[in-house]
Amino acid sequence: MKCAEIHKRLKSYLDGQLPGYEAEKIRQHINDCQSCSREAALLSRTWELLLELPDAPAAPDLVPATLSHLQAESQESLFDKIFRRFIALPVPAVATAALILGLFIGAQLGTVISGMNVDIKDAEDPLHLDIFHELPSQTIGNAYIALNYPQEDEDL
Amino acid sequence: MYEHASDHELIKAIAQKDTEAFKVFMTRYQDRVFRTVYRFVGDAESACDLVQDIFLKVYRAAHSYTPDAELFTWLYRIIANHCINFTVKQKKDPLFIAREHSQPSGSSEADRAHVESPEKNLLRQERSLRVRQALDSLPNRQKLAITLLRFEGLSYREIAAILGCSVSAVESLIFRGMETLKKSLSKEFAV
Repeated sequence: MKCAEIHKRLKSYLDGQLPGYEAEKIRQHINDCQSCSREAALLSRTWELLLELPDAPAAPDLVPATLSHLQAESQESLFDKIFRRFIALPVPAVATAALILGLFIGAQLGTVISGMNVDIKDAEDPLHLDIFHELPSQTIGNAYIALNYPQEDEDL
Repeated sequence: MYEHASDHELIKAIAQKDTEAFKVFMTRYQDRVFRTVYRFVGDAESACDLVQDIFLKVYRAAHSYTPDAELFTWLYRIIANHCINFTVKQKKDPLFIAREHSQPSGSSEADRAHVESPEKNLLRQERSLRVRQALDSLPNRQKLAITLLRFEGLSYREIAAILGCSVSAVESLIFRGMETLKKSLSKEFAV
């Protein structure tokens, strides 16, 4: 085995991941080769340095915090479910219901309004324009009364 | 009720939305999951948020777990995806301000700091920061493979199952990652 090949497999060798016969070859090569032996030492030192990274257990409130998060989420999803069910109704059904409701309200309102209607023509004194009667002559108001109600004007 | 249940029994119950089983599962795995995530992201606060997301994912995805797969492989896949997504988002976010690598209170590092002299403590913290920076400079998959090997003691085969690649691909990831780390940390060898 050449040194370049050994370098590629050194880490696996150090991790004990190689089959016995291959591990033995590498072990023998390292014993005889200064460069590969130095490389193995550098790798081991780098590997050791990784232990400088801090270690820590989980926060004590991790489990209760996750559970309350889950509870909040499930309440929210219940609301979503109801809302989705509502909006998931078939569109034609909703449109038909809205149309029927509109027609019903329209019919009801029509009845009420027709009952309130006043026939202007039949009213005896529909416009109650007495307030204009004393309008000074030569004003726009007076001219309007004269034009639209000539009879009344004559009576005046 | 579930204290003595096997992992498979727990996952089966979690799939039925049993929160008691979920609580036991979290208690069983919280330290292991937190340690892996914390070593990967290097920040206790982010790690805490991520671990919560990971467990919520376990709860939601429990029904998709099939007993023919190893539970730890399935769990570590979730961990790996969350860790990688986190760093991808972090790099993409222009507004992201890198948090200082915080340690949770009560950590073994914090405990050690009380025992050591201030100079020694400072030196150790600086070295730890350089190791962190070197590890963070690695591509995600290299970083993950090295983290799982170094701190979780997983075999190449197990890492391959988690990353969804071949054993030789894992070997290559670790080799390339270690080459980079060796160069980045060469100054530390004299210390």
